[in-house]
Amino acid sequence: MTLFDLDETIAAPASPPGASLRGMLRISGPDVRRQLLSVFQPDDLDHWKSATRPMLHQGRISLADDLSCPVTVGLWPTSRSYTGQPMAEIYTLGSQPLLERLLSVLNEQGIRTAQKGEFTLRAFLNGRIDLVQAEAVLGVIDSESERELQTALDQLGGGLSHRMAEIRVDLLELLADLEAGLDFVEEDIEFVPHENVLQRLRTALTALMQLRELSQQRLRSETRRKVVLAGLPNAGKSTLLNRLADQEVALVSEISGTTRDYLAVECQLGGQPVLLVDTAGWELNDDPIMKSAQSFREEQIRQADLVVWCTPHALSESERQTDTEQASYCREQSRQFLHLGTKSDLESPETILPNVDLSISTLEKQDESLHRLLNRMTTLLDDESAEEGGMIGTTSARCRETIRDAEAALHRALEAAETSEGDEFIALELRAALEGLGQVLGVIHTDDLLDRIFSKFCIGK
Amino acid sequence: MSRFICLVTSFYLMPTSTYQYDVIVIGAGHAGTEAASAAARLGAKTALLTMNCDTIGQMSCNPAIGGVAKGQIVREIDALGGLMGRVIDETGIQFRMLNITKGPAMHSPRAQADKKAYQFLVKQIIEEHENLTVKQEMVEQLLVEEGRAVGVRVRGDAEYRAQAVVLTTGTFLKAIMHTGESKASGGRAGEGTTGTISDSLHQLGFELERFKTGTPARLNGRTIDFSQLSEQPGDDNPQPFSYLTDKITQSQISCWLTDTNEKVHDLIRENLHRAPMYSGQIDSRGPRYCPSIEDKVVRFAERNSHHIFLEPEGYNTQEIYCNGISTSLPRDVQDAMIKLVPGLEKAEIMRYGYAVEYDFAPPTQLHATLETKKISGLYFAGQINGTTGYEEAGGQGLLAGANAALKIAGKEPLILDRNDAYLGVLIDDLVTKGVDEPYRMFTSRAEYRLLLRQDNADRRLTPIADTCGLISDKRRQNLARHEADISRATKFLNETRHEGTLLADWLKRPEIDWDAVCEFAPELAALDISPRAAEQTVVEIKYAGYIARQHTEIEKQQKAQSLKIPDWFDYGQLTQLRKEAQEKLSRIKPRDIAQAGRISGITPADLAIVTLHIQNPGKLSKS
Repeated sequence: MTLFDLDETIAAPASPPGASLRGMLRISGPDVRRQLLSVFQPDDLDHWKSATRPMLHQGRISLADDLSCPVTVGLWPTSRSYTGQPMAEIYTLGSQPLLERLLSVLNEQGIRTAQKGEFTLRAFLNGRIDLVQAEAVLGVIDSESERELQTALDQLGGGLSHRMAEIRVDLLELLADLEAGLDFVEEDIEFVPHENVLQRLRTALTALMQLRELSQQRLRSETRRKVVLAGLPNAGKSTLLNRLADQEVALVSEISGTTRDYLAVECQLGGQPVLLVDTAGWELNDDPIMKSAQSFREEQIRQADLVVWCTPHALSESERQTDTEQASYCREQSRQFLHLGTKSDLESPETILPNVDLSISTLEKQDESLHRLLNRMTTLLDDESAEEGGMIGTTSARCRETIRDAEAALHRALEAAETSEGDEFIALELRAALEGLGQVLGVIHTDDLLDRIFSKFCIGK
Repeated sequence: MSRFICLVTSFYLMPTSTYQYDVIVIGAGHAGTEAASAAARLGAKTALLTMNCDTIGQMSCNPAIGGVAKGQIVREIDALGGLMGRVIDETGIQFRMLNITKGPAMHSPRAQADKKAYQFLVKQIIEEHENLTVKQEMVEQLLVEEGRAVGVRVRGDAEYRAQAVVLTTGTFLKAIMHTGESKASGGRAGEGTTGTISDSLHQLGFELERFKTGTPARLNGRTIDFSQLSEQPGDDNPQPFSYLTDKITQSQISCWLTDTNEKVHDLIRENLHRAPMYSGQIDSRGPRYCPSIEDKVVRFAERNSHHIFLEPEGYNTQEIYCNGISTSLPRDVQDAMIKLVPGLEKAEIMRYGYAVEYDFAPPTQLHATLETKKISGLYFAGQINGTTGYEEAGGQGLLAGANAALKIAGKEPLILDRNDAYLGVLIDDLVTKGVDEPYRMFTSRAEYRLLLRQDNADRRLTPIADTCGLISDKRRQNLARHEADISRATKFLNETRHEGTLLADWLKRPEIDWDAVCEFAPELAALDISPRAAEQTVVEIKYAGYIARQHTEIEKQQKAQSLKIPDWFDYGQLTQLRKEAQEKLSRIKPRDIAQAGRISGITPADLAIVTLHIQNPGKLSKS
C-alpha cells in the first residue's frame, strides 16, 4: 500500500542493467534535496542549496567511512520534473556493484527502493503524463514482476527463497503459538514457555542474519560473466585455463597441487567478456593455507555463472569416488554446470567417462574438442543470462531491504521478549517481519495464522 | 397447503391491513433489538417484528457475554449507545476480567448472565423504547419495488410498509436441528423456522449457503456432585461493561470445572457413526474454534481429557450449561457420556445438545453499511451474515439499524474503520473477504489491536456516535468529564518533575504506577482524577511508543483510503486488469483503494491500474 504514499522518497537504478558506460540512479520525493545531502557532498554547496532550476551538480558520494566516489547529480528542485515532484538523478560509472552499493547507501538514509512502475505512477498522479502513457508502463508490471521476483530470488542464491520460506514458517508457527495464548486464554491449552519463545526468536534471527550475509555476498554481482574451473588436484584445470585464455598464465606442472591460489584471467568467450577463474585442487587437508584457499574457492563457485568441473580420465577407484561426490556437490552449488572429461589422450583414449558432458584432449591447442567446449560454454552462459531476464538492481534490492527490515523487527521482538513485555508486543513485531517476508514470497499470513492455531490447539469452550 | 395457496394468491389480493413505518426490523435477537433501538434512537419510527414476544433478547446458546475480543465489542456497542453492556451489568451473575496478567489491550471483560433476567430486561427496554413498536408477526415475504425494499408481508394477510428493512433472522432460515439420527426443523430447541423468507431471498437473487453450529446439553444442578469439581469464582472487584455503570453491586456465583476422560472418549468413538457430522447427515461447515466433543476426540486423538465448564444459567434456576462439549450425538449416548464424567455420575440432562444447520447469505453481497448491494434499503445483520456470537450480532445490528435510519434521513452513513473499532474490523472482513466458516472475532484479526482496547471504546466511538445522534446527553457529559480529567492529569505529569525527571518519564518505568507517582507528587492526588481517567492516562503514557507506531501505520493506510472508488465504477473497461482481478473487484465493489488491497488475490499492480482510472474519470466516461 506504500505504493500510494507520495511523500516517501524512492530510488531505483534507471540505467539498463549490465555493463554500460554510465550508470544512473533516479530518486524522487518532496524532500530529496535535503535528504541527499546526508550522503552527497556537492562541490558547490550553496549552488546545490539555492538552485531553482534543473541543473547538474558535481560532487562525491561517500560509500563507506573512507571511500567516496565522484558523481554528477542532476537535481530538479521543484515539481517540474518527470514525476511531478522534486527529483534527482545520480550519474556515475556503469558498474552494477557500484550502483547497488549506492542504492544501499540511500536505503540506509531512509530512501526506500521504488516499486516497479512507481515513478510512472507518481508522474501520472501528479499530472505529468497521461493515462495512455502510464498504462503502457504499468500494464506490463504484473507479468514482469513475478518473473523478476523469481529471478531476483534465484540470483540471491541457491535456495535463498527456500530458506526465506522456512524462516517465515518458523515465525508463523511462533506467532500462532503466541496468538493462541492471547486469544484463547480461557481454553484448555498449554501455552509456550517464555524460554521457548526467546530461543525460537534467537534461532530465527540468526537464520535471517545468515541470509542477509549470503544475499550480500551474492549481490556483488559482476557485469563480467564468471567461469570457474574446478576439480580434484591435477585434473588439468590450469592446462585448460591456459588453452582457453590462449596464454601461459598459470604454471602448469605434473605435480599434484601446483596451483595453490586461484588464478583469474580476463578473456573473450563467444564475443563476451569473461573472467576465467582457476581454483586450487579440490582436496581437503589440515594445511591452514589450503583451508583458506578452499573457502575462497567455495565462494567463487557460488558466485560463478558457470562452473566447469574437470575429471581426468585416469583415476584410481577411490579417487573416482571422491571425484563423483565432489562433482555432484559442486553441481548443486552452481548456477550452470558443465562436467568435462580431461586428459583423454594420455590414458586409454577409448574410455568414455560416465556422467561427463564432454571430453577434451590435452595435446593440440586448436583441436575440435576445444571448439566444442567453447560452444558449449557460450550456450550455457547465454542460458544463464536469459534466466536473469535482464533484471538486476531493483527487485533484488527490495528483497535485501525486506530481509534487513525483518531482521530489525526481530531484534525488537527479542528485546520485547527479554524485557518481559507482553506477548502482544512480540506479536506486533513478528507481524511486521512476516508481512515483509510474505510480500517478497507472495503470500499473506492472516489466513494461514488461524489455520495453524486451529489445527494445533483444541479450541472450543 | 393452505399457506402455500395464500403465498401465491397474496400477490393479487389487497392486504386486509397495512401499517406504515420508517424502518422495519425482522427478528428480535441480539442483532434485531440493537438494530431497532439504534434506528429508534435516531428518530425513525421503527417496528420490531418477532415470531414470539417471549423470546426477545433470548440467549440461545451459552449464558455468557464477552470474552477475549468479544468483551471489547460489548464495550464498543455500549460506547455507541447500544443495549448489551447495560443489560449484562444489571443481570450478570459472575464477572471476570480475562487476560489481566497481559497488557491493557488484551484485558477482556466476560460475564455469566442470568439468562432469563437478561432476556426480560432486553424485552422491557424494547417495550419502553420511544419510537419503537414490537409486534409478534410471522414474516412471509419481503416486498421489493423497483429494486428498493418497501416492506414485508406477514402471515394473516397484512403488510408493513417502510423505507428500510433490517433482516436479522439468526439461525432460523431453513433451520434443521440434529440430535443423533433424529432431525427436526427449527432454529432453536422447541421453536420453528422461517423458511419462506429464505425462499423470498432466493427469488430476489441472493446467494445463500449453509453453515452449522451446535450446543451442548444442559444439566439439572440438583443432580451434580459439586464437591468433586473445582470452583471458578468471579473477580473480587467486578468491572462493568457499560461506561454508564459505576459499579457492579450484585452478589456473584461461581462456575465449576470438570473434565472428560478416556472412557468418555471411547464411548464417543464407538458411536461416531451415529453423529450427524460423521454419518454424512450434515455436510455444511461449522466453526473450527467451537468444535463438538466428537470433533475434539477425533481431531485431537492424543488428548485423553478435555475441560467441561459448568455455567449456571441464573439465580433462580438449577439449569447448568455444559460449555466445551457441544454435541449432536443421539440422546442415549449423551446420557451415558455425561454419567462417565467426575461429578456428573448422577446428573440429569434437562435439554439435550443438538447441531443446527441454517442458511446464511455470504456477506460479500453487502456494502459496509450492511445494506445489500442488490436491494436498496434492505439490510442484513447478525448470523444471517455468517457470523456467530451475541456480541458480533449485536454490533452488526446496531450499525445496520443506525444506517437504515441515517439513509432515510438523508444523512452520511456510519462506517467504522478498522482502526476505529473491532466492529470496523468485523464488518470490513465480512464485506471484503466473506466467510468460509462461522465468523467469530479474535484480537488477532485486528491489526491495530493495541489501540482497540476495552478501556478506551468510549473515547474511540462515543464522539462518532454523537455526530449521528445515537447517544444520550448523559453519555456525552460523562465522556467530556473523562477527557477533561485525562487532559489535566497528562498536563500535570508532563510539567512536574521528581528528582529532576518528569513524572511522565517516571511512569514509563515498568515498576512505577499511578499510586507511586501520587506519592512523588501529592498534588496529583489532590487533582481528584477519576480512577478510570488515571488508568487511561497511565496506559497512554506507558505504551506511547507502540501507540505512536500504530498511528503511523494508520496514516499510511489512510492515503490509500482517500482514493475513493465510485459505486458505478466499471472494472470491465479496464482491459489492462487481469480477469481474476476484474471479477473479484466487480463482485466486492470496494469503496476505496485500501479496501481493494485487502481483497485476497488483488496485487499492487492491480491497485495501480485501478488508481490510474479513478484519478481520471473524465477519460473513462468518454471511452
